[in-house]
Amino acid sequence: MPEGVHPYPRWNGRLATTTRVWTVAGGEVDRVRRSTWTSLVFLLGLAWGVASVIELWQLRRDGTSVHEWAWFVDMLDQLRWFALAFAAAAGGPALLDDLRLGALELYLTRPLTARAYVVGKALALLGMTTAIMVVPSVLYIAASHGLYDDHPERWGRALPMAILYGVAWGILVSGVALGLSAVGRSARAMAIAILGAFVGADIVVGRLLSQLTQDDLFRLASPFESHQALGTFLFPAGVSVPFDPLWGVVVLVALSALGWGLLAWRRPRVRGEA
Amino acid sequence: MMAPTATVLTVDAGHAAAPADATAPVLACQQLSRWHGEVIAVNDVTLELPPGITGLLGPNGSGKSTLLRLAVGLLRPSAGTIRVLGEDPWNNPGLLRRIGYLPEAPAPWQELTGSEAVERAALLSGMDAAAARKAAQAAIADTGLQDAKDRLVAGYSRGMQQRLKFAVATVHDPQVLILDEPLLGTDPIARRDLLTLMKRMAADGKSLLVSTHVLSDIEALTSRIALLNHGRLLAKGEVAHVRDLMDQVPRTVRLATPDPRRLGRDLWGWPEVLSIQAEPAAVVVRTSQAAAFYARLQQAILGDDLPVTAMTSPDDSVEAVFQHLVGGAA
Repeated sequence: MPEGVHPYPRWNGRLATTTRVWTVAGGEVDRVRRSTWTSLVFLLGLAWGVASVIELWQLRRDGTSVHEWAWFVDMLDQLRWFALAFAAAAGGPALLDDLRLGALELYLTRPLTARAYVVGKALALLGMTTAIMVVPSVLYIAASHGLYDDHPERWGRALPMAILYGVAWGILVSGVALGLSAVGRSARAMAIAILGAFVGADIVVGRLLSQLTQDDLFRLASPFESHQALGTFLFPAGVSVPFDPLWGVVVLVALSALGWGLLAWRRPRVRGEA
Repeated sequence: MMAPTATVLTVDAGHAAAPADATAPVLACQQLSRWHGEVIAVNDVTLELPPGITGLLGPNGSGKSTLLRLAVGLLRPSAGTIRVLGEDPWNNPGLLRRIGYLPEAPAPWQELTGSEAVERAALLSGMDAAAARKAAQAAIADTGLQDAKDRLVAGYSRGMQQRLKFAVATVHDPQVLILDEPLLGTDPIARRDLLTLMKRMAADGKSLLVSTHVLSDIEALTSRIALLNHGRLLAKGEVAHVRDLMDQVPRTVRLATPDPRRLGRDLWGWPEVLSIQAEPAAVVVRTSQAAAFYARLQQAILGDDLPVTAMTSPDDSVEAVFQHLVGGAA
């Protein structure tokens, strides 16, 4: 009997030996798509992008001849809230629901390593959070070319820079969301914790402490401002931070590493596993 | 349908397709232990199970599920070794292509329809999209879920979820099926269908390790059992041995009668009777030799010597005997 043939009736094919990371990722996208809350947040993000395009059109109609980098960066910065909300809503249940409903056991009893499972989940969440920022950017840039004859300096770099900016934010929020999901017990509590961590760090530490102490360095603790620091390197205009942007990038990398490190340290475990 | 063959080849294209000896143990444990903190779930189990169907019996908390989870590589042994088809299941994706596992947990992927869930399991097992779709439909048909295949899993009854988990476990045509309480919560029809399916799969050449705490489930499937209690292997052998033990177990028999006084008097002095208790319309007898007592009772009733209108035995089930056995050994 040749290799790969087996004596069972239903199927005579061969099973692939590659790790099914994309199957896990596809399953996660499918789960998110079927969830009312995550779909709603995703669509709201896209709607915000459409609203920005409409605003761009109105400005053109009102006689503005050149659009500005600041408008574009403003849109991206606002979209970060949708990406954050999405990561909280989708990332909390990403691992916890599988654990709670027993799907993790089924994943791990397929020819799939725990690492491949986590990577699949992470790729899906990262892709979707990034898409919330990138898809409206594509719309905006396309509209800008349709509506305006003149563009700000180096506008041709807008899309790759927006993708980098979006990916960086996606890495941060999905890392923190999955990291907290890996250590938490309740998806809803984790979603609140993720939002609370970002808002708390931004408002309490970043804004309040910097105002009380008159020291702008505290604003480094805000993930939003740390991320904006990256924007100062990417975009030629329209973004500034009240501290050395290099430190902002360092904090951004550190916060992202914290989230992903938490996930790597406390990867999902099945019931009874030490 | 192809006939089962003695030679079983791996379906894993990435691994050497070593022909397996038809008599080689499907599962082999050597001084296997697994503990969670200070709780010992599996304690020094040494066991070899040949191909075919084996029932793993034990009350709740006896270590059955832990043993099965060790067998599918979800847990790592704390001590000793476990081999499935001659390979260590821990961190062994190649082996998992040849194993189907039905967990005790509810059916997963509640947001999917039944056919989508089975298809996803097939994809995760390494099938391409077209093969996964075809295999999922076949598995759905095998488990009798055609009418519910387009409904969301979240709306499935417990019995339907068991059928679905069975389809998920078998969709990739595994060589070994490890089933944790596959009949739990099933209605009589689902029970019958799943038992038939399991027997058919065994006839097709698959090996099944089925855990349950209901002896009659196993009796309907196989005569080969392993008994676990408190994480230890109590016994391994034929169900018939358990049946033989039944006769040694004291049994309570309730005989309904219009004349309890007379019946009690007639039974008094039978060597098989340990005690008699009269009730308003019945006599409750405790016997140490059930088979002999039933034989003599039947003769007496047929000969109209005894005024018995009905007979029940609250602990006459094999489950009760099993409980008695493990209770006695605990």
